[in-house]
Amino acid sequence: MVSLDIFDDSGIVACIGPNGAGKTTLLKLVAGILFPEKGTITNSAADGTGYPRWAKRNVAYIPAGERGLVNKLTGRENILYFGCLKGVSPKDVTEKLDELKAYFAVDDILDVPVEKLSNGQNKKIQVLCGLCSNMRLLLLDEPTLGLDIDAITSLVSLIRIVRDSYGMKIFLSSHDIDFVSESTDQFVFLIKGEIRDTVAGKCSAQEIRDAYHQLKDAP
Amino acid sequence: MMNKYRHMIKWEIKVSLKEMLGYKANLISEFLLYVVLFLSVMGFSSTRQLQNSYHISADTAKFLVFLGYVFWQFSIIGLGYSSSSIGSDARRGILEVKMQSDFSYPFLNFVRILFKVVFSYIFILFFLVLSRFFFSITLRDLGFLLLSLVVVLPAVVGMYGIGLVFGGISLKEKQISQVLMIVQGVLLFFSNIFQTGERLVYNLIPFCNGITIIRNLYVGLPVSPGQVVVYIATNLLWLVLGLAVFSSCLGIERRKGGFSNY
Repeated sequence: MVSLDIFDDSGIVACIGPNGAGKTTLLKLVAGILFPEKGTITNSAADGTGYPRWAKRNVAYIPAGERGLVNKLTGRENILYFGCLKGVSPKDVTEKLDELKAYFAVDDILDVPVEKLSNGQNKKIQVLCGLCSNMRLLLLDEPTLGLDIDAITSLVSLIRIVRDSYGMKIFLSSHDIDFVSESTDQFVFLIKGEIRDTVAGKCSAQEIRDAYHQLKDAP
Repeated sequence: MMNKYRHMIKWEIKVSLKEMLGYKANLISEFLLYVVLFLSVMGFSSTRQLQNSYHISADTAKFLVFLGYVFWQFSIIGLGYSSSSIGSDARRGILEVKMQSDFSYPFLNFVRILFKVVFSYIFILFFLVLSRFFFSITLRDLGFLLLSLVVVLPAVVGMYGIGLVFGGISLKEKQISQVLMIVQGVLLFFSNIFQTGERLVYNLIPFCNGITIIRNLYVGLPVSPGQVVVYIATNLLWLVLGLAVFSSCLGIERRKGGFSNY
């Protein structure tokens, strides 16, 4: 059984584990994209409507890399399209985008087709897709994949803004220890499909590495 | 609630249009394929059987062949587009995004197919101009071409149902475009585009009754209510079957986690 309390006080939760541990699968299960082979996913907030239905209305999963964007659409159009898919009105999405675009410094790229944007710029658009749809939980799968140092620094500050100013919960998976050390409030160590430990509070990159190796090598 | 659907339909159409116009080489090759098929059907098909069955002139028979071609063309959009768009969505990570949508995937896909049918109508109108080389065209012919867009809708729905069956299979088998091409070809030659017929298999092929209905209307023959009922009911059954198979396959792949690995 995997038991997680994502909606406690910790704003940003990182899932850490080796390749094949099940990080992406866990994120997709939480997103309602995948269904568990055995057992069920329950959530006290789902108030009887069933978890997949709740997830559709409250969770946004942002895949690794640049997947999940329509290349021929501009950034703004992608954000509006994602909002529509989530059943949010274009007016509400636009209002939220107007509010957030200054933080994300995306004024220059919003009306450019995403196929012409860099990895870092696309990542901003992907995150905005989730944020502008007013979801309660944002799932980021390997958010630093393909990003340069500047883009990672920018991403760290953005997700902090999201946590501090909007109270949004973020659950991410990453192999980038420096990134999670800087950005995260709680660490979940997932090894071979099991949560071996959770650590709350700030940790240095070295502390995370030590904990990871200790848990990974444990019998 | 209705606004939600209105916005969704508007955006699906917008995305479809941008993607269609954005991939120009694909658009041109699709158009050329339409032209080659059209010329093959119009240039090499024999109209003798249609002339004998309906007691009509060669010119009228040619137009009936054209109507059959229009039906087949619109119908295969419903068949082919559903499985190809599933593969394309999966490769780009859009399928995952749509799995999180408030709308069902078959609904989103169907909106795109309807757009594609309407867009293809522009191609068909162009072919009507080309048709002048094969037979004379009257205003009445144009009217029937417009009417065919309405009459073909049940067939599009039925073919979409069959497309969903293949779409469900493609979630597991990934590449099934060759199989689809064979199915489309078989449907073309086993349907009554070239000849009239009342065999049971024609009733099961979604567009055959539709072709007979529009042809009967064109030549002034009565259309039996029974045939209309069979036409609509068969296609609704295909849709129900398609939705059931697709949902089942999608459920299996969502448990196994393999649908995004194209």
